[in-house]
Amino acid sequence: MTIPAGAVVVDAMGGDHAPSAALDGAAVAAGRGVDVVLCGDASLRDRTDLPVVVSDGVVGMDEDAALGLRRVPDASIRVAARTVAAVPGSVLLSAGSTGATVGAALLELGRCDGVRRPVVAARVPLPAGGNVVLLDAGADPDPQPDAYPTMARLGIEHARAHGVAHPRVGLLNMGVEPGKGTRRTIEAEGLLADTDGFVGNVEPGDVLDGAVDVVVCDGFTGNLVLKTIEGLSARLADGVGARVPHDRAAQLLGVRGTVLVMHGAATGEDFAEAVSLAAERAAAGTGTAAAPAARATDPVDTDADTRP
Amino acid sequence: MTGDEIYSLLAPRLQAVLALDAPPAPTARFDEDLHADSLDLVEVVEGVEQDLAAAGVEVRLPEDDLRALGTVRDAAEALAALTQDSTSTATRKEPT
Repeated sequence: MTIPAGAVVVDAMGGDHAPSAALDGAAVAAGRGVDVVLCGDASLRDRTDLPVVVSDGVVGMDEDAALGLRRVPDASIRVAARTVAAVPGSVLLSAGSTGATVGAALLELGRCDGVRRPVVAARVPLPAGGNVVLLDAGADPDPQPDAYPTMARLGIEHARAHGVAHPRVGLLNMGVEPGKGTRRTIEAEGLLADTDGFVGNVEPGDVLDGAVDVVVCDGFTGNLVLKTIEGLSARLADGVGARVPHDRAAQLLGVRGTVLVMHGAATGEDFAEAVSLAAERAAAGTGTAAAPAARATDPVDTDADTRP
Repeated sequence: MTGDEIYSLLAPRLQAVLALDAPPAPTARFDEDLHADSLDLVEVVEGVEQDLAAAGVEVRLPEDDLRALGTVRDAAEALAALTQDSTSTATRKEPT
């Protein structure tokens, strides 16, 4: 199989509605001219004309993700990450277990220099326009305080890649006064002091008012904040018959490649939009700065569709 | 291979994965001392398994054994025991 450089590689077996949602969304995106490759069971070939890289099994949402990757060495998410590692400039997209995606990315793509653990960066639209980069949105629920400066650096690079020349960085907290919060946030606040653009603690309301361009927090808090904002805004919009535009995927930062993660409940429409977003990221080359130079030029031959 | 020989493979990988200033002591506990989780352990163990494979020794630490590792020395000795199961191929059969 020849996979074009810059293709979007979709873990078709990840998510609550797998594989139908991925198949439906990938077909729509392919119709828009996006090069899409699916990773999943061989039976997918009976359901799509798109190229399929065959995998064997999945990492369940209800198991330890790392041990699941160990248990199922050719799981769809790992084969997808392996494919991205082999194809320059390609992008990985999954609605499966975020932990499994983080693990597969680390094991197959590797980490950027100085990164202890990758983080998920979500671009959250603001009521007055523009976006704020929220991270970590769920990769590491329980980070050590010394992870925060790296998290901030990755967020700054991401914001710059999206056009913010001098990003302001805030630490999400229950108050703006120095020394607020938990032992972790208090220590993190001190470690962030030397970060360019760091403005100190910020409350959620300040974030929504656009007080900062990048907001950092642990993955547990960030995931809850993101889901609260998305859930509330969607329900308020439904009440007035409106739709809130937002990215259907967030980017995993700190690995040597471009990886996008989606909600587990992603629909076919979500996949269609996310695949298109992934194609934009591939074209823009918005992997982290420490990622290897990706060339979206020559196609790559792979025999990954034929298991030994 | 001996536990000490495996430790010499494990220590630099742990230092890199956990972003430590120095290689961890054999007595270092994964949880309390190194704050390592299951993903860290999988990444390190797979790396050492690849090192051993490059040297012609095929081993694979079962998930249950990996989950039970308490210290760096535990990991070194568990992998060393696998290499001693056979002089050439030391893959332990997975529990079913």
